Amino acid sequence: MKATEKIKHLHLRAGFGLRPEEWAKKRKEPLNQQIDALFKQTKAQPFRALDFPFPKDPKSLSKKKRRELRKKSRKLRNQVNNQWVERMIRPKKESPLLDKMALFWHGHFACEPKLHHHAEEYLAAIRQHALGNFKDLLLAVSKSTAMILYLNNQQNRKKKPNENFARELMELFTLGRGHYSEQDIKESARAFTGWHCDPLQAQFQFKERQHDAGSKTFMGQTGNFAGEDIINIILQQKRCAEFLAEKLYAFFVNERQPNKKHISALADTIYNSQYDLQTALRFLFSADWFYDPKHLGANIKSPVLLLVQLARILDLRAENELAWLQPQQALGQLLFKPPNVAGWPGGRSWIDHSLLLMRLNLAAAIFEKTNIVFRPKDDPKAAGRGKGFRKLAVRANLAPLNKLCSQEKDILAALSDYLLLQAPKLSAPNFQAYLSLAQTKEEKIKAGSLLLLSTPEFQIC
Amino acid sequence: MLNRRSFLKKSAVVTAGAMLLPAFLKAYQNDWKGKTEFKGRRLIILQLTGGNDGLNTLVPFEDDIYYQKRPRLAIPKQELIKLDELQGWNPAMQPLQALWEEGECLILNAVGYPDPDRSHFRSMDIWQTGSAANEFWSKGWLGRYLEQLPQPKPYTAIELDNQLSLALKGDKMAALAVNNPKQFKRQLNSPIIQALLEQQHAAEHEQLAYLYQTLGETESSANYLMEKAQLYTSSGDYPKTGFGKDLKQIAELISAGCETQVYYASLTGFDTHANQKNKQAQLLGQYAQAVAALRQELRKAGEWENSLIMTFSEFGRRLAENGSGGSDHGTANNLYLMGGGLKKAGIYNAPASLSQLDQGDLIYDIDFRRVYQAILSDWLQADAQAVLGRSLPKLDIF
Repeated sequence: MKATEKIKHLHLRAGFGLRPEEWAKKRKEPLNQQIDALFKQTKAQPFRALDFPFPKDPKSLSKKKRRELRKKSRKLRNQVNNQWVERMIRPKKESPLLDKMALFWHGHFACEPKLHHHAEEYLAAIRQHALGNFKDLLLAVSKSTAMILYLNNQQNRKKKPNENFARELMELFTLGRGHYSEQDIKESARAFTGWHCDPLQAQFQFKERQHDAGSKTFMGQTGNFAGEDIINIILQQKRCAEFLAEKLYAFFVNERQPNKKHISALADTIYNSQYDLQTALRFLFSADWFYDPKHLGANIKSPVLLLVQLARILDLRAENELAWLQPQQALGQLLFKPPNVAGWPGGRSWIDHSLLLMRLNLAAAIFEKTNIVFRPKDDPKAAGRGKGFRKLAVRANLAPLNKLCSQEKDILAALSDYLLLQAPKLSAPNFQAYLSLAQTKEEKIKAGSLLLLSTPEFQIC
Repeated sequence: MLNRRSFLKKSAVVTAGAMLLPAFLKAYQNDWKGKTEFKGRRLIILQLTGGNDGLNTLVPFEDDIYYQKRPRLAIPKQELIKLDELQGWNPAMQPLQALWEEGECLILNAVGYPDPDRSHFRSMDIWQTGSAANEFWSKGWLGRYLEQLPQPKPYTAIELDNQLSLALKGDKMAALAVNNPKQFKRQLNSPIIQALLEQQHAAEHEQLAYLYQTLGETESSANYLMEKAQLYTSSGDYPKTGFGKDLKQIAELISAGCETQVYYASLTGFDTHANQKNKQAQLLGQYAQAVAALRQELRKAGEWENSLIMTFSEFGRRLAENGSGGSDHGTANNLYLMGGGLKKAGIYNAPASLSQLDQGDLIYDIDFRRVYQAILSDWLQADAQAVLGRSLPKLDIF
């Protein structure tokens, strides 16, 4: 792999791609320096909290008033989504790896926070620990209001245990199917009784009276386990590190061809570092095999990656509150609304005939303000069916791209080098015919970038 | 013809007369022109999104509990279209009365699944994948059916929409989401996409080959559907709504001999938590009028015997009405099969009990996957077990 290919590969996987000005600088920097830079500024900078306090004593409010508050809060959740996407596009003294990992964790700990402050709390948890220790992350997410409600731990009571959280904890968060017994689920569900939350204040509560303090036998160990003990026992299993390694490998390296040897090496690193995520990721991005040419473009960009990368290349600004939400919805990855607890299946499921067309036409929708389809699928609240065609409410600024190309003789080659991992046959007469219509340098940059951003080549990472 | 002026104005999308470009070898495009007309059986799925209130669609008018629990919502016995001595249709279903009387409708009562989920999205996923309530599948039941076919084409199954439902998604094979053929074709009209289609693409990169192949198939399918759509123009009396247009489109494609085997369309708005009566009547009326028009045209085209319509919703609603003149999310519901080739017609099983409930909800009698199984094996002659991943007690309806 060429040095510049490695750089592009690294930044597409470990972040959301480079802005034109970053590319101008980084394409010449040594790779190890760039890997180091990913592990600086790993502390999450909190978001501005949305100003919408729920009253301390909601019982004093009428039922109608409470319903209105909830409705307003659900709407505000969109702003949390917006804030997050804005941050991915323009990080604030944060490594791009931080939000890339937070996005990974959102898919891993798939969850649908219903109210805005549930989303705030959940997002803060996955961002704060995105590059910390997996155990802290697991505890923070498990105790978040969003997850407690989503996996029914609120209904998990001493006299009537609800096993939903215990099951997903093992099946989806830590071990994977086939590595625990039904008895393990039953016993651990008892340990998580009493893990409650106050939904209006978005606060974890331990309800002693609901907690089953009796003896439990879990994975061969017996004791009066609490929820934290169960998590400790799970993390003792090497299998947990393997499970994480498999998922990290698919996300960062190759979603179609798992390599057992490399996954096992990654699992060892995770386990031996006691689940320190920075150690694991540094190992991953420094490994020779991470840069094996067969991984180049082996994955399909998730809709959020596609959107954020486009926004970074074209310096997009949102024109209204729904600007980032609509394309997420249209392309099939609306944050805070995963299809189910298993998260987005990803890979080729991002693509079908219509979705591919939409992706290929996305740059045109930005450049030309052409219409694109945005109709929420299967929305039970939708009154009827409109045409569903809208304009994207974003504004592009091509100045950074113009600057990048200002000294270039072969503009198309320079753009292709920046935007794509693999170039289409640019010399093909049909492409040339299209490009020959542009005459000034700025027209050439506009036409060239629009062309390259509309290719299947731009869909892979 | 694209010139410099129009290029500056609109360099990506031209609406008519796309650039004339030299024709290169089109690696992935297929010419599906002039194929023989399709004469096999077909399946039309109509999804009522939002959770249609089955108890007010097919009313158990002999049961006093219905009238007790629904003081505001209940429909008086004399207003109903009586189907048998126990149940009668909401008057809004009147356009389908003839279809019922001619033995072209089979109604299954209390269709559902164990451990019902009352979330729209989750329950819809369960219905669309055919999974159990605690399983999460990423392929739909019809997507898996397509994968079983020897040589499926993208248009073997079509959803009348811009986005594809999970039901029609597979790994290797997915159906086509087409709002209407003209609009679909228009999305391919940009000179850039045309240029991409014209270029001969090297297939050495696995993902790129897949993407180019998908693009090539999209264009071929769009051409095929455009060709078919121009062959026949419907004159049926469809409601002038999105759903009406969808069914009209289905009628036109079938009448033109389109090879599509599965059509999928949905009507949304059934989440009637408040002021249900008018809202549901309006939606059911729209549904009934559109289906009646579709039936009439398929009969005219001689395709009604080959067509099976299945109508479902992700769940029914609770027995007791709520305080806002509406009803809340429930569980089991009726399911409708219609067509000119039904072996059995009428009401298949007893209505759900209104006295024996599970937390205020109807208890299911028929697992919906048994209906899929019957459709797959006995209507489409497919390997139902391979598609559904399980074998269920046989439902003898075809």
